Amino acid sequence: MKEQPITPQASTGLLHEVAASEPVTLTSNEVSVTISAWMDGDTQTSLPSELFTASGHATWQVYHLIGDTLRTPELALSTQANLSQRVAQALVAEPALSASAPVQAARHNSPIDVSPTLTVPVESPGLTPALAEARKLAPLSKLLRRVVWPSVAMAAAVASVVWVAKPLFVPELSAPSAQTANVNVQSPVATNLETSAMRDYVTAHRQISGPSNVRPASFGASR
Amino acid sequence: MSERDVDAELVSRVQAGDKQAFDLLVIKYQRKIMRLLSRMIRDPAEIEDVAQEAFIKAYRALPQFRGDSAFYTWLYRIAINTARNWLAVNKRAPSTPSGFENEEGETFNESDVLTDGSNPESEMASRQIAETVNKAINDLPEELRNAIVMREIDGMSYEDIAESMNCPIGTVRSRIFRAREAIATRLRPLLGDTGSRRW
Repeated sequence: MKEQPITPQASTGLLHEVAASEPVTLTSNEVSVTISAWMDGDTQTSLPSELFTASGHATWQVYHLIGDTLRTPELALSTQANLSQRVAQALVAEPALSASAPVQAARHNSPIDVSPTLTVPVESPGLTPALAEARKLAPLSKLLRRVVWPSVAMAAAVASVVWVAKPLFVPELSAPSAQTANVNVQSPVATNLETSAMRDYVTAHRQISGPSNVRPASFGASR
Repeated sequence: MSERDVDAELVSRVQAGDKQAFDLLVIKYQRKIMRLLSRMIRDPAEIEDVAQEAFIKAYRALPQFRGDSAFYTWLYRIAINTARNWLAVNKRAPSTPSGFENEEGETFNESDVLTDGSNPESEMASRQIAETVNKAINDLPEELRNAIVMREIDGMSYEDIAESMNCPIGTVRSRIFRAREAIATRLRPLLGDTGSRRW
């Protein structure tokens, strides 16, 4: 009997394109050929949608069992069918990983740590619907708590420090030392003080108010 | 496309919200993970619990997986950490105290594992499966046997197998599929799968 080479067109490559215009039912063999080739990394085969059916899972499972058994007879294990079912059931309560930010926030909530350090999980992996709902709402409040409020507080603190310390750093508003008095420093503030009337006013103001808005405390003076 | 690329495609589908793609990764790696855990935990029921927890941890952490390492290497580390945590919580010592500490998933040799965690029934079932696969392989026509061995044991790509067997890639694809189906036909009764499939 002459061998018939199987091309991707004969399996599903073109069948997928045909499926866009008219419904095509793949035979069991065609799907299995595609699954077999795709799991081996065949570059000419695209991921078959039938892989996500119960039959596709069964084919995927038995083909991988064959490969594992050929490579390592110790892996000839047949009793794990319910493990994948258990995992699938547990994942029903998990949110789909469609967006990274909410998932990361949810992960931050999770007691489970995947880092190399030793950690102790305190909660079973399954989630109740209420917890799942709370997890959906968590990102917004977390964003406010972790990003917005600290940023506002930090900005307010910086503004306060600048407002208080500004006169100390601006030469014209701070105490004039002997050195700075002799040197004509051109600063942005000085350019505003061009008129003699304004200069006289500022000089008089300095004499009354002192060198700075912030005066050093002197506890001994009151005694 | 390599096996790593196949995993990467499934991982990207999971990261895009396709939970079913994760099922395929679980089915693919469950045997390796359970075998790995059997080095640390003896009770088969406990091994299954820890394996389930490891897979769920992996699912939750998958947004952080960027593909710098192979998926199995990453999953291996999660499984080891999960087992360590489980042993700490349950105040147990590992059934084998050393051997996995510094090993990477990619270099881990499953044939070195102990079989203490297996019960006689599962041992018998495993032996039956191994014997069935071996017998089916021996009964295959030579070209099918060579193709499946080159692929599964030697890890050769379809292109390399085609060059080695001096035939088109389509023929390689056909031979490997027919070999797998011939073996699967004998295996399915042992797995409780009648093989009646509807697509």
